[in-house]
Amino acid sequence: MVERSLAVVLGLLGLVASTGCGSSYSATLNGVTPMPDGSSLGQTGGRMHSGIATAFTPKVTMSDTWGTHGETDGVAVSTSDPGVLQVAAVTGNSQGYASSDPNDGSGNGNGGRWIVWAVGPGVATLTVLQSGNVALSVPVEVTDP
Amino acid sequence: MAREDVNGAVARTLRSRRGMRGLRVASLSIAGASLGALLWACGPGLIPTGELGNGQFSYTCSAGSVDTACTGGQAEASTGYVDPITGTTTSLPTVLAVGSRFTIDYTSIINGGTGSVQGDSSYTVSPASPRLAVVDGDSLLAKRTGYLALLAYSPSTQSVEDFVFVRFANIASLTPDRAEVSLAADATETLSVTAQDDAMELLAGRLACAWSVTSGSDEVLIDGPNDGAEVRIQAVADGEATVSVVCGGQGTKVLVHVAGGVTVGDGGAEAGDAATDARARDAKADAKEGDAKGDAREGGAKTDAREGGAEGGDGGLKDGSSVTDGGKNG
Repeated sequence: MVERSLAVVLGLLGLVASTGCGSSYSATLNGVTPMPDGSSLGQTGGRMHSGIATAFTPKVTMSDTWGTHGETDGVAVSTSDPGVLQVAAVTGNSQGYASSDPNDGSGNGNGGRWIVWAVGPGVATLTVLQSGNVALSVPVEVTDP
Repeated sequence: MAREDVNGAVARTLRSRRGMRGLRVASLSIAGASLGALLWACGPGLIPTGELGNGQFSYTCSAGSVDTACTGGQAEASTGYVDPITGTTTSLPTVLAVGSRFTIDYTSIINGGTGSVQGDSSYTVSPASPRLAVVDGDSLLAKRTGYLALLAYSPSTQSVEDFVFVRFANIASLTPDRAEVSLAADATETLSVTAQDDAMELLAGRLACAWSVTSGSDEVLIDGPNDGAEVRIQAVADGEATVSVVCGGQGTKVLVHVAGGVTVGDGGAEAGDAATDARARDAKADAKEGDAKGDAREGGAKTDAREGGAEGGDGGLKDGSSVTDGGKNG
């Protein structure tokens, strides 16, 4: 009887562990600021001219067997080639074109906003990460104006 | 009864005072609104902040720099508020010339108006791409047409607080302040040019130009620097000279008439002779005016002056590094 109960508990623990490993992450780029020359940055790709910058707020969502919920901690943005595309966190408040979500709860003082700028011609991948998990990858092509 | 009357009178008085106070408040509100509207309409206009609203990028003019966005070494007052100490405006030029140099400072307007980025009072104003502009001393050098984001970057936190766009355009034409000028020998004069793009929009920035005397170098000399939008010439002998300038691959000429003064190698001319000579040369110059203008349009001197190397070129840094702006952030 005890062995059977132990087996059930272990089974449940295994199920929980397996569902934890099965979580998936996705992200959207919110509040992309206007670019003056027709450059663009979206969910599936971007085309930017050298010298152009835009800010945005990545919103990461995690889905698992327990449901879907937003992730605010540990969100980071990186680029595959700093010679083509560079990225940095934005400090400051949430005024301006890109109004960050006051409810994102990131607590890092920047509303979770990031800025990306095109350095030189080429293709680089903009990646949104949540605690090391890839939530979104956006290929961005940079050309000279 | 008397007490009731008194109470009633007091109540009426209070109501009246409240009414008067209300009227005063309303009047003050209307006056304030009117004043605000007046200031909005007649004031310096929109104060450009960065795209993220965290700070203000200001165009900076230095004393002696020749720039259509500056007047007398001060930032152009008509484009915005001029800080009496720093000489900066709150407006940025619409478009800057490729090959020109310019300086833009950043001041944070968050954290109490003159705050800093997470305790760091030092910002850099960095071009987003060295292909569009590079740092050249304490200025930026525009290299290519297009829009460029300037980033208010904090090296210590490796974060960006704000950014702003500037636009660069090629010089399509030059306009001299005068097509020709008459001078007495030994007199000096300052000539200048402004640059326009192909839409005839006036281009800002400290132009990189090359001035030269392409004909009549015995009559006119360049006195001082010849690499900006302005040049000082000195008349040294009676005659005519052509002063040419090339900026960003475009050129123009100024015809200079020298008459009525002491000529080089001459201990002194008599007044009557000089006046007679001057009249004669004026007439001669008038006769030749059309020819001279025609020559200027032909661009012969333009080619000569180009050989002197007027381009701003790639003399700047190649790494897109930044201009420190630590002094403006309180």
